[in-house]
Amino acid sequence: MSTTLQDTLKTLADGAAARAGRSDDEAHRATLDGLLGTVRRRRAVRHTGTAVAGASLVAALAVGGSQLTGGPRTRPGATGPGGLSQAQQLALVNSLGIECGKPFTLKMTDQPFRGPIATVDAARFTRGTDYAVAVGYYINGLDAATVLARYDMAAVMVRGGTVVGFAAGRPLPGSLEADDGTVAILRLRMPSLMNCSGPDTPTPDGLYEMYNVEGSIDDAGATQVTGVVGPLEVAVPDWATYAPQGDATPDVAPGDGTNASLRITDPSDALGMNSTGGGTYLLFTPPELDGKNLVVRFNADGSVPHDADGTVPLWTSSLGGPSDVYTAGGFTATWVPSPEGFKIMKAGATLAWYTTGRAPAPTATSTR
Amino acid sequence: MASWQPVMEQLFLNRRAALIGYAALLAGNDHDAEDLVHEALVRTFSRARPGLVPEAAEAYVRRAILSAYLDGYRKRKRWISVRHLLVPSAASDGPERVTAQRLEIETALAGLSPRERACVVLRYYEDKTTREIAEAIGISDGAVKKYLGNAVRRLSVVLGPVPERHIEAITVVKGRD
Repeated sequence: MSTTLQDTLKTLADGAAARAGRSDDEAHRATLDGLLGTVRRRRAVRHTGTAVAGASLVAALAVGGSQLTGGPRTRPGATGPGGLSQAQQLALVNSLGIECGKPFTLKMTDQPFRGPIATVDAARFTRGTDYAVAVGYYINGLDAATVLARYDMAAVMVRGGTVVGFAAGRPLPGSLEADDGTVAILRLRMPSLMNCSGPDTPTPDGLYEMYNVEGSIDDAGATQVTGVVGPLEVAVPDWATYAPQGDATPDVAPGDGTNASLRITDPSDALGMNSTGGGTYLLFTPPELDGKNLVVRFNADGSVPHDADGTVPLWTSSLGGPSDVYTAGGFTATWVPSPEGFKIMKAGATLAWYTTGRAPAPTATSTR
Repeated sequence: MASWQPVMEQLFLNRRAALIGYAALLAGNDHDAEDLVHEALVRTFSRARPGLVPEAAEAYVRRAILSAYLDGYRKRKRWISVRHLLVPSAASDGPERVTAQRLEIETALAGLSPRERACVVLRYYEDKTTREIAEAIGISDGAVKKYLGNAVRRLSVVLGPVPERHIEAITVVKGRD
């Protein structure tokens, strides 16, 4: 046989390399951005010793305390997310090893899921009374419904290391938001977060942590945790305490300046019900864009691009598609220098305020 | 911008295809190869490596690819559990790859254990010595020779006798892995 093992290996490697080089530059860039974000997060975790989602993963959103207090939305027997009753949700989170009043011991996934069946790719949080999460699953040609049916999702509220609230759900056929054959986006809406202390027990003010826990159902029907993302800082009471309904221009920046934070200050939902943060972008879903996203793209170092007059460029995009300059008018974005971020405005009213959580650039000083 | 970032960007943009080619020999398909490269990049650059230049970084990444492959890159068991659901990889259908002999070799490679396959790739593609392979994988020289011997014996069924110069350093030894 004339073909040597060396020749064959080289041919195989060259073939794979050639195929890898066929995809377009934009796809490469998007992949690279994702990897860079992952590295930044892991470096941050190594550096601080804590798992902070921060700007590179998802925006820490101020979620209303009313979500945690339960109230009438948590009445026993009510059908919750994914068609589950409250009792079923409780059973599901218990199967993931999550119990009210017990320490939350699950660690943030060290390696983001990028395998052939699933990954926690992004999280979207619906403001107001709903909690929703959208997760991108790499399905690579599999039937999306088959893959997604193997997963559970849970949102877990933690304070002082102890589980104080949760919501859980299972994908339903209607949960599939998009499927391009490679990535399936699942949106799971969770109408309320259960309060471990009971629906009538007030939730103490303060900072909470929220984790997204993903579990898979094995062939035997058992559920095991396959991914944890978080924490996201959740403030109770939420911004609404400081910004009464109708006051669209609160003068307090969201967040504590160390984590990415987004505050929706518009009660009319002009920016849509969902916002998604990534390492290099933040997007909204304004109804007037008819299915397209309104996007702010960050600089490579996470800073906010802006003109000399403080104007932040806005873009539009469709899921998985390229970004175009937003030209329709209406929405504008203005850079805020400290804490660094931007406001999105319309007709003079602030609709949203985002802070990057980045440390300010060091000022040149001399000790001489 | 952090100093590691431009190095990682340069490596990814300029050497991605070559790294995937190398990883594909280990993983056996393009999808897994890409995953291996991504994981290796993350592993490599998540650690502080002051003064890292692209050339040295590539060596780190190649080593990380090998490690990730041998580790089963964490998802192997999950992947295997659902692999039967996958449609055949489009990559295996390309006309440039459809030669009976090459497919036979791929099949033969797929039948090797991960360590056997790693030894073959390092020896015959990376052109490393037995000692270098042993250091890369973290096993003894004797174990490398054993894995290579077993692998070559199995590949010979497809390839025919592997030229003598390829196996001159190989001595099959008995003992624990």
